[in-house]
Amino acid sequence: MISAINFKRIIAIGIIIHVLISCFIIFFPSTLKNTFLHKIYSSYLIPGPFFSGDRITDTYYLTLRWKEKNSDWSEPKDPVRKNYQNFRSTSNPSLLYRNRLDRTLYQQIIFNKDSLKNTEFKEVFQLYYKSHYIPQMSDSIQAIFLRQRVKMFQMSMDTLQTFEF
Amino acid sequence: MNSAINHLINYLNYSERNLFWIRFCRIGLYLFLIFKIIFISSILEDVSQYTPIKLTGLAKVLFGPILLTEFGTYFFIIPFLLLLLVGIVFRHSLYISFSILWFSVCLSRLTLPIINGSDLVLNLLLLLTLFMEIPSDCKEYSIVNMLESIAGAVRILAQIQVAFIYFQSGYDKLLSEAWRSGAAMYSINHLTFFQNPNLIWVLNKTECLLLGWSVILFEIGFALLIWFKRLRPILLILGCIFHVSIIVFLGLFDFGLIMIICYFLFLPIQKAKPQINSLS
Repeated sequence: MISAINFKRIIAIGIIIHVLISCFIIFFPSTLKNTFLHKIYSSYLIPGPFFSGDRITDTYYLTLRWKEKNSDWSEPKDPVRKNYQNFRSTSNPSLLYRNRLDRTLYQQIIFNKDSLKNTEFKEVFQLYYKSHYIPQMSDSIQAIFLRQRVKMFQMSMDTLQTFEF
Repeated sequence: MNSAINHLINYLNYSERNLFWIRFCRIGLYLFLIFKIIFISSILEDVSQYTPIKLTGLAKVLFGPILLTEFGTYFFIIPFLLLLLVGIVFRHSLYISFSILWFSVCLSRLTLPIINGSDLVLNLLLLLTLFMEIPSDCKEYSIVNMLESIAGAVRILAQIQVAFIYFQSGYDKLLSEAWRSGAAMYSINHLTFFQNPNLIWVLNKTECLLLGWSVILFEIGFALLIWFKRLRPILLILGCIFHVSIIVFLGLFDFGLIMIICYFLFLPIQKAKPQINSLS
């Protein structure tokens, strides 16, 4: 039967090994990359790094315009920005979760340019925005995908894609 | 090496732990989950509809509770809320805590497109808190004794994980030219979907530089200095200010809250009783 002190000793050695592996993964991330150990540590045990420098350089936005029968195009609307402003005025955190879903949906299009060639995806995208932000009576929707790049104190905004449904 | 092991053994001693704070941390996590479920429930239907997941084979067992959403998202939400209420009201039970962890992992899987770092930290802590308290139904002395050692080890492991989360973030920023120059702060300052319209404060280059380095130093400093009990209160207060600032200025309330809940693991702040001699 293992004694209490030996049991604690085993646990202590286990913790030390874990600390050494964690340090190795942090300091030499490329060495164990794509291994099972790296995946477990980076996904579950040491989540992060958060607000990584290269991930906050580019941010993506979606602007929507729509047209109802016999009328002009509406003013461009940025649903994510609008939701965020509403969150600030109402303090309703649901709006932040809504924003994350919005960003996920339009970033799928930005990162995978062929996604809108997929009719099913196109319909889903259209249905989502029509059910939340666009009047049901509208017969045309224009989606403008923008990228804001902030690099070394210089800010630029580029139009990546424009789609009309 | 031997001395490090002896120090760790001393630290592992159950008597040093304060069950009140461990329980407080666990209940804090459950309250956070209730808060999250309430606010995420209104979009859960949309998440399931527009970013559906297909469970096959073993995943059907691993993420079993997700199958309840086929009858409607409330068939998933209501049992989860009930479990959380039971977990808060009654003493620690391994079955209840494990079920909560299972449902939480399933919620993260279900809402994968919209999760952030807070969900990963939450699930990690829920896993660790499973073993930080002795289950109320455990009476046998030898098992209780072994579980006490495990509880002490898991508590220090949880503290180490929190320290590593900070260290990794700080170290990554230290290697980043954007963070060292302050440009990353400038970038965050210009994220329009993270701007508080009531607190618009355009930072100049010097302010960005100072804030950028403050974040780097805090994150690395927290990980290295939290082990010194004299510095612990200062670091915990600084940490609360840091996370509350993120909540106020950027609106990242979930990440800020979960990290503040982690701080309960570092309480109480008291001197360790030397026990190496008695152990050896």
